[in-house]
Amino acid sequence: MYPHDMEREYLYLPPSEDRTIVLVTGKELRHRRFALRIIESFGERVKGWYELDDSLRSPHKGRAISSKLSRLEKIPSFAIDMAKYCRHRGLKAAVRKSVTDISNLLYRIRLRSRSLRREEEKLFAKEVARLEKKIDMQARKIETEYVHTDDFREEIRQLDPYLFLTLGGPLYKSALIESIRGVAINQHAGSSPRFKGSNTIHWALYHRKLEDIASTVHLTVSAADSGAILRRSTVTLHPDDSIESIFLRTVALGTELMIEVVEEIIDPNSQKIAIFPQDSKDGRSYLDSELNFPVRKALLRDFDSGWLREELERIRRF
Amino acid sequence: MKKGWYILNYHDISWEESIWMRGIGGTFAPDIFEEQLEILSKSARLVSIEEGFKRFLDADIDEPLVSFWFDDGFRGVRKYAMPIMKEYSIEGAVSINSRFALREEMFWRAKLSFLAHSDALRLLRSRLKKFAFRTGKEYIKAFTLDHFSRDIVEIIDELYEEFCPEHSREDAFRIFDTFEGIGCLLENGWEICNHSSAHYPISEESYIHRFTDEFIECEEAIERELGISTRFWVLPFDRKSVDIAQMRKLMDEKGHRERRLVMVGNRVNIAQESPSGTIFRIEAPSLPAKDYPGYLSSI
Repeated sequence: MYPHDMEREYLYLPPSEDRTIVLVTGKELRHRRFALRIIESFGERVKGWYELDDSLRSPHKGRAISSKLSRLEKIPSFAIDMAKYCRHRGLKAAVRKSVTDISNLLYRIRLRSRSLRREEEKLFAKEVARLEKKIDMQARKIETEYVHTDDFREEIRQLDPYLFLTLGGPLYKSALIESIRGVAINQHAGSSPRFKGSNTIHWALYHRKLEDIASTVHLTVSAADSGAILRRSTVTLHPDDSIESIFLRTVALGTELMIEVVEEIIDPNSQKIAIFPQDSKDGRSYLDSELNFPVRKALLRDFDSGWLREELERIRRF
Repeated sequence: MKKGWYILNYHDISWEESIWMRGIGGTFAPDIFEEQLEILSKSARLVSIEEGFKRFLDADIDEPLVSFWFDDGFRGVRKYAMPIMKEYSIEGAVSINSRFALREEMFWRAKLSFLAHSDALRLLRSRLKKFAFRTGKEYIKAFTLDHFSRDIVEIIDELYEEFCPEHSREDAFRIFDTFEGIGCLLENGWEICNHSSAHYPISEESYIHRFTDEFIECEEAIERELGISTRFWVLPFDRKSVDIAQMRKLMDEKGHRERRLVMVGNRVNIAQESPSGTIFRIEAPSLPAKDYPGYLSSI
């Protein structure tokens, strides 16, 4: 849908008979679904598909093992700390602290066992398998850093797409975006301008803003999720949803919104499209590092207490 | 599950539940709908409306049958529900409101949903006071059905125009399918049904005087746009208080004896037990898919 709370302007599309598409996506199942749905919908117009895959670099297994071992070394120091705490604050306070620490430890274990990938398999694996059977095009795997190189820009220049569509990638440099002869469009699993950046569905849930559990399709600019909005809409929620299923459905919704936008743009009679410019002062951009343990624990507690079911009932009771 | 014809009733199947829909409910994500079909197919036989209706008429139901029905003509039915149901080789029914499909009028309950989202209900409550609305003691949804009139619709319209910019008012129609899209459902063997012209509460005492007129307007549009006449007239808003006999009488008096009245009612269709041949449906509950067979067994 068009955002109802923003001013409409128009973007005049550069005239072209040849409205082709290049895709750049992440490598997860949700990203593959995005690419395959676009290819299914627009067929030969899609001239290239780049998949960002940083596992192409040498893996750092050694470092991972030593990091795990260093965590084990912390156990005796934890016991010593506890003894000190008991001596200074008394047994009652030490017991209280231990209970909090154990509760946090249990939350950490639960958070680790939650698997986005498992939920993703459940939601998208069947559809992606069906699409892969139908579609021949293979993604060209590249490292994320490669998109910032002159070589990549040259490749894109040669493909000369009218539409440069992205999901799950880094921020792109202006030079690349400006070299596209038509429009560069990004899909953001979040409600711009209020929630930009990383983990925005988690943040909207943390703030209990169901109206911001949304997907945004916007023009790509060099800042995160800040370009003029083309579509934004809220996702279907169910009382028994998990944080992961809500996030994944938001991505699926965004893909459908992207298809809607592309359908509008590739129509040769289409000369202009409605855009809704974002004010850079609005909303907030979240960093990945901000989604720390206390925030994730608070989210889990909300879901444990059945907040979502009650909130959905409340919204419909008027 | 009993031997009988269970018809599950939905609004939309879509990844998207826009702010025009959220206050209405009845939208399910495609993955959830697919899971429901998968689980139900193990406990009952999934059948098209065509087959279920035929076996209902012939009193030939010797097993639990489950069919799927979608009200109001939302776009997601064609886009998501149809391909999922195709995998099970079944077709559903869609009940449409002609003014929504023709983009002539927005669903007034969708406008209420938008106003609820925009914090405009406080103003609506205040403006409804002249119709004896008691703030804090009544719900807007129930009050507007109990006291429905064109004046109330005008008040809702005024506020909607105040709060929703023109570009969004036009854009909001995209939640509904067009007659072109509904034609695609028809070509794929779906049953197209009459749900009245604008989803006003024509079964309620407050508006029953418009009962046949609202259905006939929709019927004429369906005939004009799709070249068919419908078999099923589907009641908008069937609360427990509706008088089925009165509506059947109205239909018979206007020469619509051959058409079936369809409502929710949350009942299983068993030929011998159906008053005046009315078809009943069961509102799809917000339960995990694994609980569906148990829920249907309990009806």
